[in-house]
Amino acid sequence: MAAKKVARTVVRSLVVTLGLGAALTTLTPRAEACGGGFWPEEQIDYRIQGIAAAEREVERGHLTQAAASVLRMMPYIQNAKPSKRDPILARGLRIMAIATVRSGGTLAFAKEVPSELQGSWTQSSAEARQKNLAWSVTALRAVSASKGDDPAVKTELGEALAQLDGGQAEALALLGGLSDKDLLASPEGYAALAQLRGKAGDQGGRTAALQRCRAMAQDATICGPESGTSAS
Amino acid sequence: MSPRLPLCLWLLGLVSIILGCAEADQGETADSALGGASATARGPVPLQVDPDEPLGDAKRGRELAGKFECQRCHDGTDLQPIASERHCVHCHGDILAGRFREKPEHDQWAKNVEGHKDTPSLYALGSRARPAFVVSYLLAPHDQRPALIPTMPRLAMTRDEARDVTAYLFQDAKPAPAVSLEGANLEAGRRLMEAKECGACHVMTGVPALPGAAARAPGEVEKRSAVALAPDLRFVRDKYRPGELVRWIRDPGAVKADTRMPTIELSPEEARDIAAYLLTTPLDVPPPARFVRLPVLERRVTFDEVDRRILGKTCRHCHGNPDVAKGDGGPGNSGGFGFAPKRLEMTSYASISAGYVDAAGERHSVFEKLSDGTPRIVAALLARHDEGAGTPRPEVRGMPLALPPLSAEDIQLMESWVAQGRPR
Repeated sequence: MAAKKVARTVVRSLVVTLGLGAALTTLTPRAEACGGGFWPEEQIDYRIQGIAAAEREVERGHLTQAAASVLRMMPYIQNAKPSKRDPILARGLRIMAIATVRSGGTLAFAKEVPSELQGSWTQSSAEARQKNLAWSVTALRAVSASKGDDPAVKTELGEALAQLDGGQAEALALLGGLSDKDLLASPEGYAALAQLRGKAGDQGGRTAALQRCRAMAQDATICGPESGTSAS
Repeated sequence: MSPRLPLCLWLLGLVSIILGCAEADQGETADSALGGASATARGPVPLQVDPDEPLGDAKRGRELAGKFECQRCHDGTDLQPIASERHCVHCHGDILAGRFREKPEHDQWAKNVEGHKDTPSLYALGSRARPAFVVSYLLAPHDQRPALIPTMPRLAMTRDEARDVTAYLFQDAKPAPAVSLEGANLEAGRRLMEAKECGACHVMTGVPALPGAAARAPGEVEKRSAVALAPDLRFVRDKYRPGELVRWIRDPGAVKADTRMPTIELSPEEARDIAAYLLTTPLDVPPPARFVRLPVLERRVTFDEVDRRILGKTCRHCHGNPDVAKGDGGPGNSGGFGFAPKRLEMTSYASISAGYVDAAGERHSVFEKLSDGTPRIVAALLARHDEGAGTPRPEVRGMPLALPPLSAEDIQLMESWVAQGRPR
């Protein structure tokens, strides 16, 4: 009997609570009252500004700074894949990849990034460099595939392949094709093309690519020496 | 506690929910009505057909108006309303009102959008304009509102499509009784326009200046919507027939409920005199200023300067980065206003160097030279001046789309940068 009474009280309290809740909820005439507004407001994604700043750093040649900034924002990036749901991630991957490539496969950000995030990026052995360059190529291929036909990403992929053991032939074809259509998107891309053409014995092509690189670059030293068969 | 109380409260809640939803639905309906006058609500009215410009198919015209996204800038159609962040002026209104809070930098944008918060609505267009005017305007839009910064974009529209869209816009037209201007007094019309201070909002190029205009400093943005939307009255004769004009002058609000034009006490004779002045007084319109292309600069021009003065200021809004705008890089990148995605992004050195996609899906550089040797990007900037002068180039669409042309100095900067090999 007592249990029945307790149960009835509990049920009554529950009904009162639900009724009050429903009444309070529906005091507003707005559509949110019908279940349209109980999710949190859209949040500002501050990574957008961070990534944009890192991209500007890459263009200025501040590669270590840019890469460290991305790694602090996206500590999971080494194992990440570009996703349509998170396009900022693809931009982070591009920054990490191209910073690694333009730094010769090793990033000197040991003092800027927690050690547990550094991975093999700070290692400078020939083997580690190739491993890091291979990661860059993989990342840029994935970004390129996700963005379709984007010459800017392809230029970066060409740059990366140019430094990877066994990647030069593909890089020459890729960068040369873009250059033919005036779609090579960076002086560094022309520098890589000049180097590849020089190695292939195409001196005329090398000179033409060097000229384009020098016209585009803020600092012509990224284009390599005027003469010779290779650019540093 | 009465055992019925919880039930009452629950019922009260249920009723409130239903009423709340009903009220919200009414609100949405009201918003929809603001966004588009229903043709059926106004009843079918015979089309006004100009003998010199046959109209097309209104049903197809409605589909085309959706394809060209007329509702993206204009209210006053029954097309599906477009999301605020994709709307030309609703988004700007949100920014100015502090309602747009999705990006940290939104506060900085307010000063940039002050002059971009108004566009004319299309309500009752068919009850005001001549169809032939609308067809020709759709095909070769020109600046009609001197205080309004944006203009109608030059769309990729054929004449048949323009006729169809016009038929759609005119399907609820209510023709005014014909009015003869015979015997109307032009001088009286002019005097009335001065007395009624039409010049407070309007200019009329080609006649002595109308008094009453509040002076704006050169480059000052007009913030008053009524003034921004007021057309140059020299174009009235292209747009109106006498009957529609007299009806409009006497009671604009009765024709178009959302007009900013005030109703001014006028007798039928007075309205006729004003109409006669607007439609028939001789105009002495000066020819458009000839654009003078400046020689390329000898000093070094870098991307930073081009970006600061041109790309970031003007181009980026339509050639943006879709990654930071919910996948929409703007009409010049992701597509819009009937344009297929060009995938031309102008947010960075690399992105502008990556070119655009043509109709066949092939990539081209925006710096490739046209047959006359002008780089495509420069040709587009020059073509905007041609469009302003009434001589659009069929093969090149003027840029910036729907905005005033760039100055000779800015075009010189772009041309110099390209000529120097695009220094980063």
